[in-house]
Amino acid sequence: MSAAHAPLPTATRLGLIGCHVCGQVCRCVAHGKVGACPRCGASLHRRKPNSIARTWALLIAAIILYLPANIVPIMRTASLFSSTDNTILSGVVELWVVGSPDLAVIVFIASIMVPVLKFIALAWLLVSVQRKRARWPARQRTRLYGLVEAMGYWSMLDVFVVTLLTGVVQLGPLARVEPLPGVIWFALVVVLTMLASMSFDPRLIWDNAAENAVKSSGNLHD
Amino acid sequence: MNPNASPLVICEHCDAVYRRRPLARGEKACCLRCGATLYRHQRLNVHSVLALSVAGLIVWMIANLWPIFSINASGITSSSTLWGAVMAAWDEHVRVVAVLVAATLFFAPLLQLLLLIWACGFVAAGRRPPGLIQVVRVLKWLHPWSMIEVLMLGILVSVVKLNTVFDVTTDIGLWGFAALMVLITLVASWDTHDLWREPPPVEACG
Amino acid sequence: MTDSHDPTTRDDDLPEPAKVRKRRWTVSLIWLVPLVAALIGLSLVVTAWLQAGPEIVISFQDAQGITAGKTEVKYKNVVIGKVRGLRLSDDRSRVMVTVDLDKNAGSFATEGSRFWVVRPRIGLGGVSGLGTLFSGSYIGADTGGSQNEDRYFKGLETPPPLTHNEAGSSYLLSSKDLGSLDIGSPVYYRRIQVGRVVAYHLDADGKGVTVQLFIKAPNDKFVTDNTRFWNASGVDVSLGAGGLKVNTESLATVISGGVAFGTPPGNTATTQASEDSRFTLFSNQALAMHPPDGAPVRLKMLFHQSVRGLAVGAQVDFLGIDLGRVTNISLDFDPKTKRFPAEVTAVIYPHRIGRANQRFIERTGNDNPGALLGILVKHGLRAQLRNGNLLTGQLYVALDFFPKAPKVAYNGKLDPLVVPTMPGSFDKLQQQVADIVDKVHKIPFDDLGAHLDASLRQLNALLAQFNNELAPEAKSTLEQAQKTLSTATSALSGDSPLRQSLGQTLQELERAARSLRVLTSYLSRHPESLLRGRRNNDPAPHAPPPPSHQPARSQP
Repeated sequence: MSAAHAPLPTATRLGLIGCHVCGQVCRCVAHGKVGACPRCGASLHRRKPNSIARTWALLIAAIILYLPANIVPIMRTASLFSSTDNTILSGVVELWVVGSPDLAVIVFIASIMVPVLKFIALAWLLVSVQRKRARWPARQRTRLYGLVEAMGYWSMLDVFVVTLLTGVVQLGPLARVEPLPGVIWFALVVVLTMLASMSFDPRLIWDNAAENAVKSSGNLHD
Repeated sequence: MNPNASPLVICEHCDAVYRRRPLARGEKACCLRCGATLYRHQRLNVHSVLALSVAGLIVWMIANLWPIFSINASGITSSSTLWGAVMAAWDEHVRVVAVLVAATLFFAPLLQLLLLIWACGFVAAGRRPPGLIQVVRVLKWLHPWSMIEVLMLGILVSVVKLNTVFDVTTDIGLWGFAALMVLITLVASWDTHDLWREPPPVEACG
Repeated sequence: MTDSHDPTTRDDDLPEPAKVRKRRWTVSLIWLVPLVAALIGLSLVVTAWLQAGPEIVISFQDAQGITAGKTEVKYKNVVIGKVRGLRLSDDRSRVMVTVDLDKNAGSFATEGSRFWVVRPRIGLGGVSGLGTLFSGSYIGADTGGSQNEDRYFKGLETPPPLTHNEAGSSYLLSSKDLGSLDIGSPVYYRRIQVGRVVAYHLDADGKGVTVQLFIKAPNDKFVTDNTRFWNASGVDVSLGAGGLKVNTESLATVISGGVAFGTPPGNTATTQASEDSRFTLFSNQALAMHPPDGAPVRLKMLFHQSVRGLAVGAQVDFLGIDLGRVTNISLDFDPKTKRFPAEVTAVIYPHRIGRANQRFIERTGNDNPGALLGILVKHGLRAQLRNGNLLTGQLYVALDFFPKAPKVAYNGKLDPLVVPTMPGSFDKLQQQVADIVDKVHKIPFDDLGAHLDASLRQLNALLAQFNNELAPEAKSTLEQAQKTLSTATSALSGDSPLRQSLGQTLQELERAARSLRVLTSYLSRHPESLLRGRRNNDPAPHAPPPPSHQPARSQP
């Protein structure tokens, strides 16, 4: 990786702002609040407004809701003789037992691992940004953020499965599927984590890294 | 800066500034610093996107009018379309979920396609699409909320779960959603910045 | 993946290449995609539209079991349509169900088609529609066969018993009451179900019930004008004078009632009865198959005894032939004798006697039953109550001849005819038993018992005495006797000297007796020889030679 150490021109230093909607790059005069993009009229921000606070708020809310989401059952299968309540975890186990271990793994990753990893990743990213000093290089952290952003929405898998089953398995007393409140909590968790990752500004990582680089290069030169 | 120079592009993840360069087929431009993708070579032009969006709209209608799959338990059958499942969830008092599913699977793809048809239609006709700004903003905002791929995986998981107990038969809706997934992926990954290319470029802000 | 970065080069002095507009071919190619999508969509829509049949509206009283978008319409278990929507009628009295029929079910949207909801139902044909417990109810359909289109139907509340194109014939039965029949009750011929009851209604005058049957082809050809129908419901248990009889057609009839039919023997009509012919429904097979009874004759009898055990409907028997039935039993009061004789009216069918009746009529030249009966009464015909069944005490009326019966006046013009009666034999039996009981009663069992007791006591004492005193003596006596006997035996045995000498002595005696007999016979012939002596030329009395001496033989 060649130019990792060469200081690259950043928009901040050059006094440029890019519109996040249309991509138009504008020159901005003053730091701080600026007006609208000349091309598309979207409001321009140097950084996502209030990123850290919003991300923390959404993340904590999501973590709080994650507990009921996993404990409260998400789906009830009722047949003539019995009725079973399923949580997310028991759904995975059932898939495994039924004979589709590959799908069980996929659902496990999507519904359980991804949210948890998102929590950890976002929390760690936030902490690293706030501490202004981290062990991992900024590049890896940015890649982590890219991963979180890209994979976030796959957690909706279980919500869709429950909805589909509810819609199709309506055979009267013979077999019926009903969704239970757990699925609401889970859906909210997914939405909140998606909003959290959308409100996190990864450029903050680089702001700190740039400062550190300046400091360290300054130290080196000494 | 020279307005006739290649337009600039700023990395969204790390704020680095580059000059936009044309790419060859299959290439994508990456940020040197953080490795994030800046832009890709666009295979599609406005006309292709229009055609694909129209196709997507037709496919969307097919996918939603016909049931996705049906189950059969000793002669008793039941099937459901996507909207039927949404309505069932609504009736079962998990209204938040019903709204969410409808938003992400029913309305979001529809809106994406309609907006693209609108914008690309006008551009293909050589006119500036009215409300282009709003269209592009909404499109950009809709993009992460359109989850047809997750629906496909969800259908797969549901079919597998039900196949142990019932006779599951796939129906037209399933194929519709598969085709919709492909089309949406194609058109949604299209860089809407291209829409701005046709009209004359706007000067930098002051 | 190539990196492209150029933060500071200025490329504005390089000429821009000429822009060449691409050919429209690539543009056209991409338009294949929506074209294909449109074509597929269109074909799907067209197929669905082509398969769509007419839309009809059925009104039901209740929408129970009907779900919009799910409930199907089935004919012979084939889905021919689906319910699209439900709404209440304007006056809220009925539910209007909108049904989309399939294209090939267009013939159901015609006049006369019937629709009903199939739900789980427990009825007389059995439990039906259980499958709908799981699958949900469906709407059954039956076409009317007409060609005129109709879109609005009134739904039936219960499934019709008869579908339109079932081949067969329907007939009417007149009956006193419905019994245990109902719609769906089976009709049997030779114990095979060939049809069912489809409808019933009260007659207009309220005096009977008309039952409509449907017999399936080809078995309807067995119904001729001579066919008799009878009620084969339940288990026919009759405990009559003839004994206990249990008769049942099938388990189904036990539950749901049933009708059976058959032809009385000897009837050979072969043409099928015309549709909707009317027949009588008899209460049981015996009644139905009975040859016609002819004109009934009413009788009245007065019995001076208890008629307990005689029931209305009891048999009137004539020399073993079932002649009729008792129709009424009541008490009469005779002021002269201040008693309550029982008045029993019965109806008899002289025709049942058969040929005897014919002959009788021929002989007397008079078929007035009163006169005929008068002749019989003159010869001793009396009515008597007899015991049909000792177990239950059931009685029947027997008409029998009693030659020693006292003469009675008879009036052949009364209606009902009065038949003189005779006290029942059972009565006599009772009397005899009573007498025996009396006699037994008179035996002084107490005294006898006391005497017997005393005698027994004495005997007991005697036996005790015997036992204690006489027994040892008796024993010794017996021993002695035994010895004596053995001595005697040896003395009397074959070669004992006693026996031998005894034998000799007997022989001597025999000789003596013989000669004495000779002498007496000579003397009887020659009595004068006593005086004169024997003459010289008189042959000497010969003693016959003594029988050869045989050794003494033991007595055989």
